[in-house]
Amino acid sequence: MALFVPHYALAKRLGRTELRSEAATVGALLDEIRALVPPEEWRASLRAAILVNGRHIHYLQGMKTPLAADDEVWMVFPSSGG
Amino acid sequence: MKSLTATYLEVDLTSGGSSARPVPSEVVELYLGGRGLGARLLFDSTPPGLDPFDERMPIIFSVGPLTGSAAPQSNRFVVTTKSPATGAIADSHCGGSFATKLKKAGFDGVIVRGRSPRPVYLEIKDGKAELKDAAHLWGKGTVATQAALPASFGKAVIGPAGENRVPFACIVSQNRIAGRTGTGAVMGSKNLKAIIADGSAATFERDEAFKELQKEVTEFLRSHPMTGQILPTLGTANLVMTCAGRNIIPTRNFQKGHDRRTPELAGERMRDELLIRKDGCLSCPVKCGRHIRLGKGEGKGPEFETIGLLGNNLGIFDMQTVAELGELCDDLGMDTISMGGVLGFATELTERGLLNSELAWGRVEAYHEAIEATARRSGLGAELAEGTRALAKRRGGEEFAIQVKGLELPAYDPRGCFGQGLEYATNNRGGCHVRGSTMFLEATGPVSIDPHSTAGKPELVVFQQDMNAAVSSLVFCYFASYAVLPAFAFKLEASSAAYRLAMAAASRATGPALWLAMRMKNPAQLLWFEKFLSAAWGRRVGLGEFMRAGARIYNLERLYNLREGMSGSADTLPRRLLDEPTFPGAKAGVPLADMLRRYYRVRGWDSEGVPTPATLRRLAIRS
Ligand code: SF4
Repeated sequence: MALFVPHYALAKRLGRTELRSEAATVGALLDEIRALVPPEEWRASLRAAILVNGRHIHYLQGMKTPLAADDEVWMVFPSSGG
Repeated sequence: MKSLTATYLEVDLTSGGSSARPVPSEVVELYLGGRGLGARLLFDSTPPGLDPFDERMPIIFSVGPLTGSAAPQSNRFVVTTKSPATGAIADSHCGGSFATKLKKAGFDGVIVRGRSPRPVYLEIKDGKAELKDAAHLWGKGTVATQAALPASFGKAVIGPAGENRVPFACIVSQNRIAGRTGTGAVMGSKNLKAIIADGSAATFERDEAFKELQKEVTEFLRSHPMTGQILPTLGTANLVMTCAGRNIIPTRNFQKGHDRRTPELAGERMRDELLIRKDGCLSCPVKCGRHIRLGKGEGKGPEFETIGLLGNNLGIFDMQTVAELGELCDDLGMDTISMGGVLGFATELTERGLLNSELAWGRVEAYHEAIEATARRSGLGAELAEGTRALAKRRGGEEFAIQVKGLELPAYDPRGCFGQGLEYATNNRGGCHVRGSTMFLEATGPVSIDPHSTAGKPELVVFQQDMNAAVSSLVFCYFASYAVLPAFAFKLEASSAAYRLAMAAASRATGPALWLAMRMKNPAQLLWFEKFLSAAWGRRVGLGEFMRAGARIYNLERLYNLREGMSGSADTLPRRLLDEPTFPGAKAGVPLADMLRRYYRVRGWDSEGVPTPATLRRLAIRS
């Protein structure tokens, strides 16, 4: 089962800092999560980067990126500083 | 045209004498101020091979051409000398009020040489300098030292670590820190506890056009997602979740790229659970500093680097504990990045049986004691105080000693941002992230120029380093440059066609576009930096001239390092970061060699990393 780590606000909404999922792809996993929150709250999440094992899904197979048992999927927002 | 000269105060601690030293306008025009002028003065005023602790070694404090103007993020100063940590050029930047106060005292900088026979502090007031007895301050922390000095003055002070010449000792001004490269140790070697400044000189003549520009840029920074929202609301700790998700936050001495508990250190949690108020430098609309609740009351909220190196890296996941360790380092006068790096390395040495110590991941008491001992060079601290590189020489483990040119690495593991790895390897002051912050464009920002590709990275790193050299010679805070990316980039939905298009374009076009841009004499003013400089100088400065100044400064620093015996072979990364993968499917770490060859070519250096005569001519560098 893949591990999903939501961004901070989403984690608060879900009441959990991580979730397990048996979804086969990133797209399927996000569908599962989206079903747990109201649409207006989900909208903010669309700007988050989706990372699988640290890699942006843009450089993998996008929403079709397959997920394996130990994969970690993170949702994070742009940041900077130093 | 306005005057382009800069006036430094020169002080000889051995003789006690002082005098004003004007810097000619042709030098100012080439090197701008701050970092650039500091580098030129250091290069010209020291013989090759001078030891950082030789009494002839100058320590140079410089402000910029906009200091005192109240231009946003311009009230900072730079300290330049030779680093006892690296043997390379040292320059360290700091906020607080000291820069403006020094300018009000009548100077654009201070050059301190010699060694006082007893502890002193330097008071600069309305054009006059006086050395005062500091026996009562010696041994005191930076907080008590500042409290004991006259309140109205701007201050730059050291703690016990500087007095004890710890090579990563810092200089503190209010609660802002000139952290990196050990400038505090050079100050300590001179028996100079503090410099304080105040005065009533006019600092900057602001006409209506300037005020308009100031207003416009302030409003822009306030409205930009990065400088108007993310940094102000979360501080630099906004980076924690992103770096964890990106698998690039140091974990157990860079053995891994994140920990399951990393989210406990999120900036969002600090905001929701601990924040009392925002804090920051004079005339900065961003205010990225934090003031938070601590167990003992309240204090400084940790910066991302402190969280990364003294927290996550050491297996400490309690924000208040990390804050307290950070405050301890600040008070003792030590860089939290290097201290965290040394402790991480020493812990792994201990784990492998190469060092006998109490250090273990997450063992807060042991780390607390080790920090105290390092500043005082007592017990285990005597070894830790020599830094990671020296510790590896003595105890072994060079392949996992996480330092470049002797400077411990900050909190971005370059195995997840190859350009940042190239930047670490080539930075003139060693393993540092704020000489270009390439990771922002690869991994942490809204666009992500493929972090695991080498394409275009040499061009990107050169561009970023040159831009940074110019910006930090003004002396603007480099965080402003995060607003260079247009606001719409932050609004793109990460799975949208527009985002995919932007990413593809950025990944393919960055290298060639920057290559071209760096060769053009672009007269346009695209950023606010050139506009402010134009206002200060009273003549138009275009982006091309500004970037060429950055390249000149960067190359001069390189020449200094070469002169001091640091060759191209120092442009490398620790073996762990080159060889050990942290990403599933990867066979190694950062593919540095290919990027480095191209980087030298883009810079106009030969295959040994030496600037060619043609490059020096093109940039009008006198060596
Ligand atoms: S952004 Fe932060 S570090 Fe930079 S000038 Fe403002 S308060 Fe200081």
